Amino acid sequence: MNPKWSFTRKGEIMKESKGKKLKKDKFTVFLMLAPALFLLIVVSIYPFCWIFQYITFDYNGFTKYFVGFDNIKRVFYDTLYWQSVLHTFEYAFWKLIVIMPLSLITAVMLNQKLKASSLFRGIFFLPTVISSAVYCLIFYFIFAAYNGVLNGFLKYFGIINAPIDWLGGSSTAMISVVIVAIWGGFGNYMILFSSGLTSISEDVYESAKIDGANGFQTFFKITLPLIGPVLKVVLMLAITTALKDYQSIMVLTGGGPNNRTQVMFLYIYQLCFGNGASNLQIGYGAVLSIVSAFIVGVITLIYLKVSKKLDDVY
Amino acid sequence: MKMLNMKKVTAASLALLMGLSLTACGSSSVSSSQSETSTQAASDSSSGETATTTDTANSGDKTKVLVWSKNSHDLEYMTEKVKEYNLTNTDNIEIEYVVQSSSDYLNLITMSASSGQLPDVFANTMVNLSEFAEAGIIQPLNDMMTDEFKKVNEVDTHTYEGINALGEEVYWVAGGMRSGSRLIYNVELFKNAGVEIPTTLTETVDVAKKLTKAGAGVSYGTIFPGLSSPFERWIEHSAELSGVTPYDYVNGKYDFTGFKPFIEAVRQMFDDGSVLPGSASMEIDPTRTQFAAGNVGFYGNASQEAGVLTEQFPAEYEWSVAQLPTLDGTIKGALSSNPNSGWFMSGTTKKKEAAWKVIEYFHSEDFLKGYIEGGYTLPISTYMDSIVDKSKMGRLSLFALQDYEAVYPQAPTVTPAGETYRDALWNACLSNGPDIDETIETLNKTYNEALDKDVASGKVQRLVIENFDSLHPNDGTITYLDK
Repeated sequence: MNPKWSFTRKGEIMKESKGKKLKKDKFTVFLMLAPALFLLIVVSIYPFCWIFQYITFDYNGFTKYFVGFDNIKRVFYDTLYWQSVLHTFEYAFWKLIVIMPLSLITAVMLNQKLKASSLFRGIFFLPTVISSAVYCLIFYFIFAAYNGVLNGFLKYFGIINAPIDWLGGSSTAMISVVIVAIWGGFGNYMILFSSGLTSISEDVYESAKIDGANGFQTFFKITLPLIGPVLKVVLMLAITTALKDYQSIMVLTGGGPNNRTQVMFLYIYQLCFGNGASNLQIGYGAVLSIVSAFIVGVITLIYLKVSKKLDDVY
Repeated sequence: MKMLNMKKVTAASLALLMGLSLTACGSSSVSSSQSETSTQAASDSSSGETATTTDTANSGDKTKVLVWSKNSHDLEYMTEKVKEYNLTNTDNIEIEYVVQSSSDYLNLITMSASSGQLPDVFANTMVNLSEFAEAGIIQPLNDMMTDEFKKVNEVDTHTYEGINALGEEVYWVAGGMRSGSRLIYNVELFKNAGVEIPTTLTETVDVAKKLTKAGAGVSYGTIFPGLSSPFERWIEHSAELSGVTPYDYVNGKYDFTGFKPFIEAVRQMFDDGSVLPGSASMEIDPTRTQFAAGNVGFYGNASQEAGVLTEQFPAEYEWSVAQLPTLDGTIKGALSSNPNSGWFMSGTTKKKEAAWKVIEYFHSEDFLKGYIEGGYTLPISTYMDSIVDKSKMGRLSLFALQDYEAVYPQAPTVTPAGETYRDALWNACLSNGPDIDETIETLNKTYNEALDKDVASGKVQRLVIENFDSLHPNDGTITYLDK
């Protein structure tokens, strides 16, 4: 037996088997990713590419009329669309400014291993598993101007004399839909924060306690920095979700009154599905979808750049 | 250990419960292969549920004809008649009757057409007829009509260009008529407030105010379904009766200028607090329940309300109907009524003969007699009018067609770069709505620009009627222009 040859051969065999293993691993990885990739391509990437074919057409679902760049030009002077973009920002701002602190504080409180904390966690999470159409209908009755629960309550305590048209008044409609959005969404973010909080070691809290840190100091100096990466992801999800919300608004106000709660994606939905077949404007809706996706994308990128600091865990 | 077992049992029970609920939710459509089956799922077309009825003596060798409808108000009658047909017809046909959500009906038709899954027969709805015909979604019925069919339905008399016919080709035949809008009022509230039925816009505003005052915070003058086509239910028709239409048939262009006093009147009612609070965010059914409960003095709607206020939401107080108010109390234009109860045949059906037999059955004398007497529609043909027992029609007889009603020629359907006129004009009706003059100016601009563009691209033709008479809109000479 030639030891040199033997060594080389052994190395080759090892290399070969390592290569085989790597190939096999890669295949396994691909196999495991395949369902997710398939769904991503079929329900997300393909439809997004699909809409590009209609941007130069006036298309109502079955007949296409070539209109050149008319759809693109219209974006620049469509005041209703830009108004809906502003409303989207307004809606997202109010929603995020309340829902983020609320869900984080709730998660921290329920993380204290208090009695019935699991029960409360379940109750707060419940709206996430209820269809938004269902809880919006419930809120519709709560907000009803005539014989509504909220107006009845306020009247009983002498806070108001005349009924307030919560969903039909231009000054109250936006705040009403934001309240519903907060109620429906905060349980979800609370659970995400809770999972982030469980990853923080008890030892850190104990050390802080020994050092004499109070509740506020513990929260701001330990909890908040240590869930930075989780906070970054949750915030990103919350921002994109808030910018894309429209289902609950559709049920509650339909974008009214006088377009006061009209948001980007509800406007697009109405162009593509909402006003009867003869008025469908799928071509223009396709252009607005691309513009809106671009707006959401830019905001997300800006956020990711700004929030880089949140990755730096102590 | 015990705890763990308990958890396992709970998890298994929950999984089973979820599985059962999914199975239950998934069985919305019933297809029968057994003899003598009769199934009926719950129905509420406005909420989007689906009702399916399949009744058959022996479905094994039968030609199955799939029929879609968007009406739930006539489900009881339709179920009974479909069952009767499936058990007795000698053509070996089985009807599978499905009630689809009325709010998504048009989208469902469009999507099923795109995916090649159109039903063989489907109930008519307001569509752009030429687009549907060009796309092959529907087909003309002329060749199949028998003399008996034409006699009962008076097809030649009730052919409306752009509505159910294109030139000589008839795509659906009207089995009945929906009346134009009426003022529906609570007799008791009017009596208590000491007011008469308003005939002019000014009187309407005044009466609404007096009814609200007499209602003392419990009942109000009027109501509008802000989220369910509020403008077209009666404001637009009051304007029509006053000779104001969105389309200027003489000059072949859109003109919304005449709507100004109507919008001002509605805005005044909002400003006065005469409209039930919350109207702006109400769907149609809540407005009906408020009227039925006696909280509203009057509102406007068409003949479907007869069934709604007697069966769906039975009114707790005496109600009646009157003519809609006009600008100055005089009728200067026809009130539009709508031919209905018709059926399209799919342009792609492979069961043309069987599909026609089903349409023929739905338009037969016996079927229509029961349908009209059941109060589901008003008779459109004089033949049916002469044979139905009107005493059986119930409150629908209050909506009997009047001399001042007519079917308007279909104005070109355009896609404006902006709000639809109904949305924009309704927004202008609201207290904090946009400026009325500006709204009208914008609509005149966007609609006429869209009309010019769509005519130039060949999408629509400009409709001009020579010697147009607003009281008899079909009497003039209709011309379609390509420019």
